[in-house]
Amino acid sequence: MLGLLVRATFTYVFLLLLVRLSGKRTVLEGTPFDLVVALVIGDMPDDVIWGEVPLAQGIVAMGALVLLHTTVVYAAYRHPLIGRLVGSRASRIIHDGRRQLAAMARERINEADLRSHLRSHAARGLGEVREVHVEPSGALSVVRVERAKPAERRDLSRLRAALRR
Amino acid sequence: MRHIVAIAAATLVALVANAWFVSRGIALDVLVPPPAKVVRGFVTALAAGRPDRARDALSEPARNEISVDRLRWIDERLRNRFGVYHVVPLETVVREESATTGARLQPGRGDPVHVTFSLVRERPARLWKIDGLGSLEALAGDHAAL
Repeated sequence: MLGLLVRATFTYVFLLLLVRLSGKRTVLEGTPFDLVVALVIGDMPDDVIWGEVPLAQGIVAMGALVLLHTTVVYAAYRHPLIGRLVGSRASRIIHDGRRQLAAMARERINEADLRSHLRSHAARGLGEVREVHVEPSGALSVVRVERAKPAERRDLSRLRAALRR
Repeated sequence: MRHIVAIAAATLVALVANAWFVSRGIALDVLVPPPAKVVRGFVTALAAGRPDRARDALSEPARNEISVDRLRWIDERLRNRFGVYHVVPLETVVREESATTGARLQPGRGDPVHVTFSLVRERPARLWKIDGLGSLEALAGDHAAL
């Protein structure tokens, strides 16, 4: 039981250290591959904690994976060419309110998915949307047409100025 | 760049500390899997049709003696006799650098069978390794005589 406690504590501290050192990207705003790496790393401590593998193997496996991934992410940040090789670019699936069918097919987003995403961005239809991008993280970003944007403080100032006239 | 160096350094420090503890025989029960886990891992790999992986659990002399084909043969014999099988480690007796683990081979059909595994600590990693498959081979061999 004491061994389990020691292994669990060590694994917790070591993982905490690796995640802190690797930066926030591994768990937030990452690409789908960041998620895969996070899942693989998340699966490793299990065997170490239960004593199925030597502690040294766990250290090497977790350390090597985090090191490799952080190196690749850093290289992608420093060199756009590597960034293009290991990552992906945002793709525009709506332009000027019109669907870009080839891009939608490439991203495997059908009409129902698109409408669902638009609703989650409080857009009632394509008429309110200027552009929709599928970001490298897989999230959809929506740029609305001017008239469909929510009111801002400056709109109130404009309205007051117009009323005064 | 500092992050990469820091991750490499943290991993290296953890490995060196682990090696230091292992070399001095401190907290070995924490740092390496106990004999029961080694036995279970070995039989699980064997029953899963991974004799190459099972062979990693053998000590060097046993590895020289027992080939992957031999392990495959043992697995086939056990499967023919017991159907799907797994092992439940029972008691382990540790004597310094050697150990004996008794286990219950739980067959898919028929009664459980008691088997024993002798293990040795292999240097320099001080890992427990299975030194012989006496009773398991006998079980497989018995079937040939049936």
